[in-house]
Amino acid sequence: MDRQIRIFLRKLQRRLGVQMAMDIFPLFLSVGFLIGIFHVLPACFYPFYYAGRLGIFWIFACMLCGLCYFLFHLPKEAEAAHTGDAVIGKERLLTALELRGNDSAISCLQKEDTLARISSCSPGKDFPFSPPVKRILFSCLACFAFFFFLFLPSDAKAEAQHLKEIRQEAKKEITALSNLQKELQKEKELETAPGTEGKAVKEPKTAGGKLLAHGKFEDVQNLLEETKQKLSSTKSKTDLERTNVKLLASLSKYKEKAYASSYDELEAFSEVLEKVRNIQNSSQEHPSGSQNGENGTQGGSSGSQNGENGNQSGNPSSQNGENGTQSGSSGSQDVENGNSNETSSHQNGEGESSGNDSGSDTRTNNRNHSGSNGAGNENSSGNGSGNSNGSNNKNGNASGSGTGLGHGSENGSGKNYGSKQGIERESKRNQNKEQITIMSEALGSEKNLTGRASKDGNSQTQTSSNPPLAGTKKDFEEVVSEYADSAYAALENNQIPSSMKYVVQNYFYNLNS
Amino acid sequence: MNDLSKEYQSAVTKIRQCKTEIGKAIIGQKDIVEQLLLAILCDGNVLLEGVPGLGKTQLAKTVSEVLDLSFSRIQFTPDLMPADITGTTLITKKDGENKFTFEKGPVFANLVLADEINRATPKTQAALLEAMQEKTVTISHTSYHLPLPFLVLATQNPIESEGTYPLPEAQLDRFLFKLFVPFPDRQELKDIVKLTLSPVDDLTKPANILSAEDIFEIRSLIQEIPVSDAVMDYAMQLVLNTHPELPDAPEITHTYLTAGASPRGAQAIIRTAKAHAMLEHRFNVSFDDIDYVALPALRHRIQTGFEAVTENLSEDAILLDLIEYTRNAMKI
Repeated sequence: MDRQIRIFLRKLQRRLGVQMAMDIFPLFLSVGFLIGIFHVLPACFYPFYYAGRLGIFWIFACMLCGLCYFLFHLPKEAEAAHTGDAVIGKERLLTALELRGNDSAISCLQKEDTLARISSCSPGKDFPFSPPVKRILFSCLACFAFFFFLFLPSDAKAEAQHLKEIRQEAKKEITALSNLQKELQKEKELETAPGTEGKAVKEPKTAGGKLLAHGKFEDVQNLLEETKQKLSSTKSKTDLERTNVKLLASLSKYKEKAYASSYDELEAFSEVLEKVRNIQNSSQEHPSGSQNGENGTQGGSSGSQNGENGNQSGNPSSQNGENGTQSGSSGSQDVENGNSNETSSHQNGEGESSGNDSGSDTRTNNRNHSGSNGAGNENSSGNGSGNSNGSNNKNGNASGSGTGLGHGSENGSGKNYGSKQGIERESKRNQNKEQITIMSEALGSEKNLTGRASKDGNSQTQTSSNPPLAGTKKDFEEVVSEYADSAYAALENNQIPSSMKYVVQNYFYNLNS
Repeated sequence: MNDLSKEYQSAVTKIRQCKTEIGKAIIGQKDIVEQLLLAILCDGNVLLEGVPGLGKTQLAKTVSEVLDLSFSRIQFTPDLMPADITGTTLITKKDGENKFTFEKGPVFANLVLADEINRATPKTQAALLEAMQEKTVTISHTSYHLPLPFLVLATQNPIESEGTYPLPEAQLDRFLFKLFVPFPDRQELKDIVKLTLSPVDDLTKPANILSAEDIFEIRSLIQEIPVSDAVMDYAMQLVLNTHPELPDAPEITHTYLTAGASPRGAQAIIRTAKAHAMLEHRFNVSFDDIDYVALPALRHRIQTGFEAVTENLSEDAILLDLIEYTRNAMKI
């Protein structure tokens, strides 16, 4: 008899549990969705706050709270008995529950009486579910409202999301810089391990050790620390880039000074610079957002340098030929074409444009030629769109590290040691035609090259008829050093992005080595 | 188990027959009859309050005939002495010798009707106290046992207050139930007149249904009926809610009551609830049983204050509010 009563009570408990779940879960869900709406709604109008993930977190948190509440408030047997007595009547179930295990005559009589009533009762029929329609409807409404505001596109939301991505990027860089600091510290500690006093001072092999040996360790650490602090308070992409560039510039400056003093120091700074560049490149390789030009695509993680008609996409550097599109997120190591900043990393062919939000290529076209004939220097610099042309009649060597058709015209038989600054690419808003000149002597005869017409249908050709001058022979080292001096002077005097400076410096360094 | 079930069935049947038999002599007052039977079956004394002429004495007589109990009636008057109730010792000549012999008073009966108990002096009223509680009478250091089952059925008139001595709380507390005998309605009045003014018919004479032994057996059956904890808690909370000195008591208690029910009130509720459950052919006490017996069991045990008198609020009205409050508070 006890068993039968227990079975009946358990059925009732389950029904009560389901009813309780129907009553409380819509309530908790509604609360979760309402809180979520408060997190996603402001971003539809104000850019300063958007927390879609937090909103979703609150929904799950409320569901979890509902589940915990449900588990801790599961209907007990006494409650089920009380509910059952509403149908069976007169507290029979409740008394039978308390008399469980009691075998006295009166107890058995009471249980028999209860069982007789239970047999004529059906939990499904006599205890029907009553779904809380209003609560369910309200929770559905709240759910719809939440997802509506979550997926509602808005400029403000995009801006808030963009800001969030920038912060995440900055955070990644901060972590990487912290790791670099720790690495340098570790190297320093290894070099100054106890027990080495009195022994012959061995030459430091690690970057940290070398920096310490030359008293630059603290400077570098402070620089990294300052950069981290600036990154932590960054609020825009421009801030982020500016901070990165500044760090590179500072390190490059140190390296420049080290160039004249010690090879070890120079190596140490080169290593640190390389690591910082890797950090910046790796964070830019996996940016939080996509940066696509108007017609461009965002490519993979490594750039390729293609020829004239090649497409090049990717990070960090990309270099396009005439008809290529470039989209990328960091500066290119392209002497020819100069820097491409993240915000406007496109190099267009004549008739094509791709671009990001703003074009802020700063390219300078400098050509410093010094040769035996001393044709003189030509410095031209320009920012923004525009072409800088120059023609030199000189004897000397001109070389550039980029390919493609550069804008600097060099007429001469020698080499030009200089940077061939590429054509400054325009943003999509400012599409000037690209002028291409060819050294007539270099190619033998004048030739007209056909290119793709610009969108407005205009084309322009210009040739130079200055013949190259014969040059005199000179020692290679002397020439290289003279060119290096000129190059460094030009770097000092002109507004050149730090990464480009590094390119030049690295170039001469490699020549020397 | 079958025997027990049969015993219960038999008991219930007999009680119902008793009710039917009493109904032959007493027109209407079905609740009063049932509650009176409950009190008898629970070994309790009953205080009947009603205007004169409602058949209170007739009811007591009829009950004693149906239950085969000896009956005695004591008319309480202001000059009634305690010895008039309990009995006294008299000098008698027996076997040529003068001896003191105890002459039993009218209290020595199974069913004693104390008519208009509030007319007698407190001294005389107190003489009944020991008899009601202890079922003994002590005269000159000698205790005399009263015949069992012993039941005092007291009556009082709610109208006349001149020359009356209201029963003290201590004595009131010894009554299991206080029942208000209602005035009959038109049909009942008509039936009463027809019955009383027609020739005496044997058929209208109540038959003897139960004996004293049957009453004892039924009492033992009633005591076995189980009460669940929830029902017990409800009864106890109801009694506690009548006490204004307790901080958890409801507002109505604090406002209208000056004193609450004693533990005898809780005992009375549970005892009579069991009997009521049995009468309803159940083997457990329910919340409804508690509600049914709460009014007769508690109305004479609580004391109302000045506010209740000025607002003409009766004890029953206050108790009904308390029952509702307790049910809501305990989510019954």
